[in-house]
Amino acid sequence: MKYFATLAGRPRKVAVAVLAAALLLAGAAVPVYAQGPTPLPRGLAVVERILSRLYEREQAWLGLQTNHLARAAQAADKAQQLLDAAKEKGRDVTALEQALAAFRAGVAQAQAAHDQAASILGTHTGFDASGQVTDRQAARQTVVRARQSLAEAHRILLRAVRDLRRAVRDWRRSQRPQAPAASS
Amino acid sequence: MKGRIWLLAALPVVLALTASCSRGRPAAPAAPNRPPASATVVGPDRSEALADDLDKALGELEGNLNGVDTIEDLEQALGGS
Repeated sequence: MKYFATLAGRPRKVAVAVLAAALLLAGAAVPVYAQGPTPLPRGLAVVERILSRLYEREQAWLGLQTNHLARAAQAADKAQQLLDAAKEKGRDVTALEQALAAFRAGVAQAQAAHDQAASILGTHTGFDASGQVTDRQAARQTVVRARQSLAEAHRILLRAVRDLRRAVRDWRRSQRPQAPAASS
Repeated sequence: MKGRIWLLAALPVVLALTASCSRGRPAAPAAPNRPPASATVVGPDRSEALADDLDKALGELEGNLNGVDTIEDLEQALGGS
């Protein structure tokens, strides 16, 4: 400082300019992470994007499956109408009754798994309200567990629908009058 | 004498009133012959129609459920993450 104070005139101006330039350069050299959040390595950013996307897809799946479950309930009502009409005509509806009871039980089971998925997605652990990842590990758990419940509901519902359809077809076949054997 | 005159004057009025009352009201028109309302009519094809409807609904639902490709997509994506 003593040396700096002894400078006067042009040399002093030069020294001030050099010092200012040095300070500016030092400021520019400060790493970016010191001024904001650490940017994620590329791989982790990709993982977070995938997790967000999966979360979004599962919510869409949940909405679709809600609709499927409502349609399954309507199908159960139709089956009940068929059963009542067939009973009025004095037909044997035992097989139909059993099939409808199994269908209703299947739909209830699927609904329970579906509700579980809805609860997991509604809690959205590891995601913020807008679906962005806040905790990778927790987000991954959310996505995996929701998928398991959604898939379980889907599997049970599909099996129930197939079984009822087959049972109704078999029952209809059994109700048709047998054609007389062709005589040769 | 005065009382008899009053009686003679009132007699036609009483007779006229009696005649009009005895005619009465015209009879209401007879109700048209309608068949008695039946309970649920079960046509011969009702259960067949219901079974067709149910089969169609279940077929569509099964098709939609089979069309859900989300499971495979998700599993692939999860495997890659």
